[in-house]
Amino acid sequence: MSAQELAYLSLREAADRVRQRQVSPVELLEAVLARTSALEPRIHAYITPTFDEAMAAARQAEQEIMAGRYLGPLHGIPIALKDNYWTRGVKTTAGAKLLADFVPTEDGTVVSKLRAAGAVLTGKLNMHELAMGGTTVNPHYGTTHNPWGLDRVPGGSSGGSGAAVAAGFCYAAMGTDTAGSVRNPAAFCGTAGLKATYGRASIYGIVPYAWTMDHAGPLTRTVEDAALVMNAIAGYDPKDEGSADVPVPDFTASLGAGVAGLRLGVPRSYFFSPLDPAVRAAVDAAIGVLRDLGASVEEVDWPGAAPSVPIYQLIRGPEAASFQEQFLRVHPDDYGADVRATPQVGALVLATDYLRAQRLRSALRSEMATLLKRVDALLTPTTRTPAPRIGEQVTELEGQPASSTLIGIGNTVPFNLTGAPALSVPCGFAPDGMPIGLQIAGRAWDEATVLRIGAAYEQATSWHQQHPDL
Amino acid sequence: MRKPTVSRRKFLAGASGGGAALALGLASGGAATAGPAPQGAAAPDPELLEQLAQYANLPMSPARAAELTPVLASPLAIVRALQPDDYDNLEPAVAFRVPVGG
Repeated sequence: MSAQELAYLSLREAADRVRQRQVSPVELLEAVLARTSALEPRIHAYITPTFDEAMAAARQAEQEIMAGRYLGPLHGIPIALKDNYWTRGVKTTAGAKLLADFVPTEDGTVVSKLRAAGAVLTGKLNMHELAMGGTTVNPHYGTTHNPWGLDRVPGGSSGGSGAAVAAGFCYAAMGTDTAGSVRNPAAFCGTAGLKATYGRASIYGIVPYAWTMDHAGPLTRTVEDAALVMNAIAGYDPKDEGSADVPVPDFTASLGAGVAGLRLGVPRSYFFSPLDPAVRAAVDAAIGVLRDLGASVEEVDWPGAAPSVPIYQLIRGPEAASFQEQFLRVHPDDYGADVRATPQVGALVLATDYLRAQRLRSALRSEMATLLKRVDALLTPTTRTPAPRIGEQVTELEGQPASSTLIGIGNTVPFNLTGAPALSVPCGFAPDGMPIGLQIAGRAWDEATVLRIGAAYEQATSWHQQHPDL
Repeated sequence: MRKPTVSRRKFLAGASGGGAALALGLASGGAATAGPAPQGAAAPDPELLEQLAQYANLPMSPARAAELTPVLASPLAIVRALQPDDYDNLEPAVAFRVPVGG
C-alpha cells in the first residue's frame, strides 16, 4: 500500500488495520504527516499543528494496543480539531486576532472524549474568524484553499477541517456548525459531515458563536466514519446548558439496513430555487439512486423554511454580541472587516425582536416535526452552488438575486433553527470538477435514520472514494 | 412545546393592541413577505443606529451606522412581518432549566 493509499484509508479501514496490528498508529501518523508536509504550503489547513505531541500520543497508543489495551475504533487514529475547540495548553484562537493568545487550561468535553477514546490529535485547523462566515478567508491566519481547486474556497466556517480531510491530512476532523459550518465545507470539499441533534454532543469548551444554535460535529471520508466519531463524542454533559440527558445509541447499528420502505421528502419550493444547474442535476440523480434502492420519494412543501436566514440573523447577532461584548467595546478594530458587522448589529437588536425570532423558531421546529410524520427524512442540496472562487461574490443564480449567505447556508440553517440532525454526503461533481453535497435531514434524535440513508447512498455510489489530484 | 391551558391569543383578543394577529402566516406561504411592523416598532435608520450604539456604549461612527443600517433593517422587516396563526401561543426556543440536584 502506497503512502497516499494509507493516508486516504477511511477511519474504519485504518481502525481495522490497527486493531489487527497490520499497521501501527505511528505508521498512520507518519503517512498523514508526510502528506501534510508536502501539501500544507498549498492548502494551509492548520493554524497550530501539534505534530510532536501527536507522535508521542501515537507511540503511546502503539504501546497500549501491543499490551492488549485496545480502546476502540478511534484508538491511534490521527484526528484534527477546528481551532475553536479548547485544548489544554495549546493556543485556541477561533481564527481571531482577538483570541491570539488564548491558551485554555482545560480541554473541552469533546476533546476530552476524543483523547479518552485514544485519538491522536494532530493540531488546530484554520477556520473563518470566530466561525462567523463561510469562506475561511481569514485575514489573521491566512486563507485555506480547497484541495479540489486551489483557487476555490473550502467553505466554512470549518474550512480547515474540510480541506484537511479531503487532502488526506487526517482520518477525521472536528468542526462546529451554527448555520451549516460542518455541512457546507463537507459539501465544498467532497467529504461527509454530520450535525447531530442539538444537545447530542456537548459544546462545553468550544468558543461560542451563538449558543442556541452551535453544534459540534465531524467531517469524515465516509458516513460510517462520522458514526464512529459520534459514538465517541455523544452524551450528556452537565457543563453544557443545552446538553440533553437522553440515551445514546450505537450510531453504526443500522448503517447496513438500507432504505427500502423509507419515505423520503423533497422540499423543492424553497431548497431548490434558485439553484446551480449542476447541483440540481447531481441531487436529482442522487434522489433517483435512493428511489432505485427502494425508498419511496415524494415532494413535500415547507414554506415556513423560506425566512430561515433572517430568523437566524436576528438570533445569532445578539448571541454573538453577548459573548463578544468586551471585544466590541475595547478592540473593535481587531475584527476582520467581513465579520465585525455581525456582533455590531447584533448588539443593537431589541430583546423583543430577538425573542420574536426565537418564537418563530419554535414554529419552524413544530412545522418540521409535522412534516416528518409524513416522511422519514428530507433530501435537499447542501449548498446552492459548488465552492466559489476565492474572492468571488455571487449575486445572481438562475436569473434570481442570490447572496453568498443564501448560497452557503440557505439550505443548512433551517436545521440549526430546528435542532434536527442533518448530514451532507458527496453526490457528484460540477463540470469544473468541484464536489457537490446531498443533505439528508431527519427527526430530532434520529441520527440513525439519517446515517442509514447516507450509508445506503454511499454504498451505491463511488463519489466518496474519489480524491483530489494534488 | 408546552401549550398554555387557556389560549393566550383568546385571552388577549379582548385587550387592546398586540393580541390581534396579523394576516401573514407561515402556513399560508407568505412567510418571507414583508408586511407592516408591529405597532410602535420603528424601522431602523442610521441616526437610530447611532443612538442605539450610544445606548449600548459601543463606538460607532455615523458612516458605520449608515453601512450597518440595511444589515439590520433587512432581516428585521421580514421577521417582524411574520405572524403565524398561533404566534400568540408560541414560546421562544430558549428555556431556563433547573438541573437535577439544584
